[in-house]
Amino acid sequence: MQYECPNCGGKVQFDATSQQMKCPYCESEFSIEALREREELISTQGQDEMDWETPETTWGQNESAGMHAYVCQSCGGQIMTDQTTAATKCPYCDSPVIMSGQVSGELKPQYIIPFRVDKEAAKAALLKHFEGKPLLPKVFKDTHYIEEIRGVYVPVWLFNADASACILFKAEKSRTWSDAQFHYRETKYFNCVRSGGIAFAHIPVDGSSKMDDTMMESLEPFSFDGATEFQTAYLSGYLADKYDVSAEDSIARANQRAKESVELAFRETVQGYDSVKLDVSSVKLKNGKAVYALYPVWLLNIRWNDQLYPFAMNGQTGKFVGNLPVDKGAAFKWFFIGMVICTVIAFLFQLIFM
Amino acid sequence: MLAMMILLQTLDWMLVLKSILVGLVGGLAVLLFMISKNRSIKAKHEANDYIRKNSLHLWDRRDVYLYRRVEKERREQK
Repeated sequence: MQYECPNCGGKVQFDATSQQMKCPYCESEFSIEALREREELISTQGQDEMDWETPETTWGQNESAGMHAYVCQSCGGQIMTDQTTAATKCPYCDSPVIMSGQVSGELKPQYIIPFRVDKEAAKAALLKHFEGKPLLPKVFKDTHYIEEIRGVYVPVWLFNADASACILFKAEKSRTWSDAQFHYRETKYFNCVRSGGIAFAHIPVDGSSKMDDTMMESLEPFSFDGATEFQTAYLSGYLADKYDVSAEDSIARANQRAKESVELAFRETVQGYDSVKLDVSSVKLKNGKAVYALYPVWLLNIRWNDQLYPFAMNGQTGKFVGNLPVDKGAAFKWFFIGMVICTVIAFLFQLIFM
Repeated sequence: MLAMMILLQTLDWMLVLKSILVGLVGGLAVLLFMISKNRSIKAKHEANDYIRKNSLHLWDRRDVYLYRRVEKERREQK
């Protein structure tokens, strides 16, 4: 059986002089036991296994009675609200919406996090978001559009699972010393094996194609402690988006985030080295389950210079996000000020110290 | 006027050029920092907020020594 060099991937050979396995390409030496252990680890752990069970409960006739569905004429998105709340504009693209009928047949949410932050707090947060931004165009701060902030329940898929993983890290430890003739640097190389388990609860993945996934992730964290079983009464006064990204299509993102977290958590247990890098990772999920929920978000779109700027606030925690435009004149002014100051400092520094 | 002419003749232009280059880099750094304040939408690549408390447990934890490498550099002789 031939072993691969952990350093460069070349085929190692037995070196009679040192009585160790030696790589002819990078000249690194290893004990047979260390190589055998590494090979066993890689061959027995195999690929990631991440499968999830997805929900199937649909709206009952009594539950959907009184729920109106609206369709956006521009982006095709479907939103719903109770019969006492009228929807006139799409919360995502600001285009008019038309009523398309009653809600029926679709998957019913299992949980909902009700709004904890009201509209006044959302408006105050928006104004605070504009403060301390010298590159923001002055006309952008005009507050006449602030009333158009809308509370929307965004559909999310929540993923729960127990993960087990076996991860191999490459670690290095260095030391230096000197004698009369030379400076020495010794680097020792290690394989660090970490096998264990970790559990996840309610990893959210955005179930609406109209709600930007990155924006939804920026609003996190949402605390599931504030969630309750879904009832249509919570929708009164708010809009609710219907999911158009299935649980199956959301799984890849949940897997990616879970795997990243597992690797980070295990990485933190490798201590006492100067450098640690991931080498091989195998993550398996058990009891994977997805549930459908609605999460509260305050949304506002501002149109400026023919571009739409979306803003969002977490309706549970009040966290506010949204990218702001940059005023070119102000940008040039601050660049020029920074340049002048740094030029003067650099000039004086060289005059005095060089 | 005379003083200005003397100053211009004695000035080290390489010094001035280096300072301007540092100034350009510094100005750009200031601008990029201020633009970053206008950006608040960032993807979350991990799910650390959703890890169940105290659920991490390791059943295998081994650090296996592989090999060492020694590099040496001759000292400057005085």
